[in-house]
Amino acid sequence: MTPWPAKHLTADDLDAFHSEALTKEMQLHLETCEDCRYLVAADRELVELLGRLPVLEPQAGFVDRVMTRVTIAEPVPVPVLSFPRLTRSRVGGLLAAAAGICLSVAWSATNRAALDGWLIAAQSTAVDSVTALAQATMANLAGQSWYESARQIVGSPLRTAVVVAASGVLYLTGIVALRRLITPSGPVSNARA
Amino acid sequence: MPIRPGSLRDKTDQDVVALAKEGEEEAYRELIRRYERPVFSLIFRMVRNRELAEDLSQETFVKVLNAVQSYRPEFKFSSWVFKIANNAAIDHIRKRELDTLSLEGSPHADTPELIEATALQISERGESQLDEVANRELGGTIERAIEVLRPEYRACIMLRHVEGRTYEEIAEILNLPLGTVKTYIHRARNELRILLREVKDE
Repeated sequence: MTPWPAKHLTADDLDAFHSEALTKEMQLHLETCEDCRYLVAADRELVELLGRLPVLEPQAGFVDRVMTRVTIAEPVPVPVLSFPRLTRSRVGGLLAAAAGICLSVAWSATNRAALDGWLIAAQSTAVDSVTALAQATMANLAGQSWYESARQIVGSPLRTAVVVAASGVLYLTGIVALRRLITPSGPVSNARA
Repeated sequence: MPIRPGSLRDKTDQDVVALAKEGEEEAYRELIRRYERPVFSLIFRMVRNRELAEDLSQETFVKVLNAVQSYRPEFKFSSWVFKIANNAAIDHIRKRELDTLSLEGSPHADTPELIEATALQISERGESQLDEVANRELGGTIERAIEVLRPEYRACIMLRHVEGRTYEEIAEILNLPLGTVKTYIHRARNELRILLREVKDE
């Protein structure tokens, strides 16, 4: 990079000049360089001319003309979070619910053995039901006419590998097809402000 | 209680916009009054046609005010208005190249009345008649020089040196990188300097 004061003024230096942020080196260069002095003077004249350009006005009644085409916004209601009003019946309901919870806790604490018995019975019933459902489903599956053929197909590791690979290919083909279906065909234009 | 006309003059843009969002008609009017001149000046100097500039200015304000509910106060309101005004002008220029300018009136006006009716109204700045004539001559030269610039340069130079916007604001308004804005402004000033020199040499 050429050092000051030998190098000429750049566009940024001209900006610095207009904002009166001229460095000593730039000043020194300006004293010796006629081209840059001319550039600065011309640029200063131009900036002054631009700054003196008149403000232009639209014809009278512009505000009214615009207002005929503007829809005055309805004020957006600000949601206010508030508790429902406490009526006598609501207070009664709340107190009853609180009392119910307290009684329930107290009863559970004093009748622990009975509560455990009920829970264990309910748990064992649920497990028995799920096991019975699974056994019935498997028995039903094994009773189907195609079950034996399907078992033979996956009976050897090689055949199993072939079936898994074919299923994978089928799955990927389906994904690709679906992606093509949901991708838009043309570019989407963007609205501008 | 409705707001009295003119009572919002001391309020900031953000305050006036907030009132507009509440549905205050006077706030809408105040926003138009604040920006009608700069927006019209910018658009006129872009499209060089009075009637068209009026139409595009109206479009700008209608767009801005009808979308005032969606305005986000973290952005400068003036930048938003100028952005929409500039887009309106650039869109029009792209659709149709305009090549005529008349500070004195429409080129299609063929009677003195029509010429006067279509002439630009320049706001008073308390200048003497002599100063006004001298400034009109200089202004006419620079106006014609600006007309020759590319629309992008025109917008940049107007926003920087007529509206006094910072480079950062111009970048935001025109949706351009800061470096591009600086380059455009410097190139525009170069071209204007050359054009003015040519006029002086003639």
